[in-house]
Amino acid sequence: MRPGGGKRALQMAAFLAALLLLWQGLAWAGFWPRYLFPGPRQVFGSLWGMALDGSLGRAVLRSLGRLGLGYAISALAGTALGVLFSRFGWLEATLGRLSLGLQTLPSICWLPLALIWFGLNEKAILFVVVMGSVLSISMATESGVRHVPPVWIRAARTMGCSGARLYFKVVLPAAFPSILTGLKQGWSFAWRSLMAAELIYSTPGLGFLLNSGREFNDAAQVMAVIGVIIVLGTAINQAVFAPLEGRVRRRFGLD
Amino acid sequence: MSQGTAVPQSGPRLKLKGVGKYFDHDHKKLAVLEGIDLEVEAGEFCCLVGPSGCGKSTLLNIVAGLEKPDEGLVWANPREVSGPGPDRVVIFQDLALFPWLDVWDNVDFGLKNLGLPAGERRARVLKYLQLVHLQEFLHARLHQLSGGMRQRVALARSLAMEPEILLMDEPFSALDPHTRERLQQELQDIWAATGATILFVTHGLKEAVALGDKVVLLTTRPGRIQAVERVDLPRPRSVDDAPVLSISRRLKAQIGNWVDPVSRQEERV
Ligand SMILES: Nc1ncnc2c1ncn2[C@@H]1O[C@H](COP(=O)(O)OP(=O)(O)OP(=O)(O)O)[C@@H](O)[C@H]1O
Ligand SMILES: [Mg+2]
Repeated sequence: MRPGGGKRALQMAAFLAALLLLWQGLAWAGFWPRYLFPGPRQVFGSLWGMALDGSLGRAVLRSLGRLGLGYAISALAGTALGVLFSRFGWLEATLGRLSLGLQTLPSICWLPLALIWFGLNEKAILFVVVMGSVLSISMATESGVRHVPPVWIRAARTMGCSGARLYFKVVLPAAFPSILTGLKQGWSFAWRSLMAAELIYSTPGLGFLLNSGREFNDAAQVMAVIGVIIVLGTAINQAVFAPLEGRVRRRFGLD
Repeated sequence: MSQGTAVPQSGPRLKLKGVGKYFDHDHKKLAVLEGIDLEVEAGEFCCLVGPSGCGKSTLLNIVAGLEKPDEGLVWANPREVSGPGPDRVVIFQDLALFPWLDVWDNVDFGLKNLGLPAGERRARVLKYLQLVHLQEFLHARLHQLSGGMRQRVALARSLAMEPEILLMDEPFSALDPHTRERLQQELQDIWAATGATILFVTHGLKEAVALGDKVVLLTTRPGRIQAVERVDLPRPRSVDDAPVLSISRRLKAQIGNWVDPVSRQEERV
């Protein structure tokens, strides 16, 4: 932990406690009807209920399963595509440019097309998740590979390293800080794309739980699920990407 | 790789004949090296001195096979050089160690490329890390090491490949004087122990005289060979030895004044 990390955590805890108090205060004050603005008790109650009847656990597993599969495809394809971009100038000048344009398209816009192509099934959602995250990963990989300091490559070549070996043992590890940034960004894009797709195309998952909350006019459930989505996103970031990034930055002397 | 016609005679480890190199700068041809003739014998420690920008690194890169000469030929071990090869390992000025590997794996990197069996590799990594006094840092990360220690890792990484020719590009210039002097001593010990042929580029005339069997002086750009001085003083030598100082003073007078603030500053010390 960084110096001052304990203090930071304490600050955060105090802040969250204050936020909770404010929320409870507003709920007690009764500015809005309870069914529109539920207090912490209702929301945590709803959360507890969903946890007990297993619907929350099932939804989390379904969503994370989709995310895991879609993200794995994205990570592999994105890195490979990025390497191809950096290897072949013409590919970068054509498909690379095009993907810059494609990136401006919110990935949920792919859903209608995906439904037409794949029908009402998991593949359609996977397609949206992959389209939402693969390009940011490939572009970060491309830029990382292109900016590998030439001296590392020269050093490797004088030590008898060339061809595919040079790629796997030097170029990709050297580009890893940049690839990791792309992977992190791609992960958050994948998560957002998944939630959007699950909301629109109702299928068991966290997005579906959100939607069913709306259908029953159950604001407490909606808030509880939003909370779960935020906590999950933050937790994965903290558990996977933050430590990895810290380690890579230290190793590469960027800190 | 280093294939091609064999050098005519079985003499020097390294031979350059009429080597010239030009770069394009704003569509103008910039002569960097001209008519370099140089021979380095097996086991010889040859120092290359010259002002900044005269083409020392370029010359080293040509020998390494990373750069092609525009004129002339280069032979090493004893084939014509046509590309990089593990028989000519370079220690670059900024080291080029791999931060994604620990100390051990950095040294092991080249050995894996050579395709050596695991046991042999382990023995070599250990031997050369001991040689540079890093046996207590076998699995340290580079960012945990000091500048001088990283320098030693780079040295061990290159030495472990047991190349016929070791090419060193101002390897000690970024170090404080005390560390530099220690490494100069260690390098002489290592060289004596391994019998490597070394081509060592430096700004410092004193360093060159202290380390080299032979000191090659280059002119300002375009770099040409201005003088070759044999140094037959007993070893180990230090930059503070009186004979070293007197030779470097004489050479300095001989070459006149390079317009080179860096080397002058260094020489003043
Ligand atoms: N790839 C390149 N393209 C164009 N010009 C180059 C290139 N490499 C080197 N030069 C030029 O060649 C000249 C010699 O460069 P070089 O790096 O060999 O000098 P040096 O003697 O090693 O200098 P220093 O002592 O400062 O390291 C410089 O003027 C530099 O601008
Ligand atoms: Mg140089």
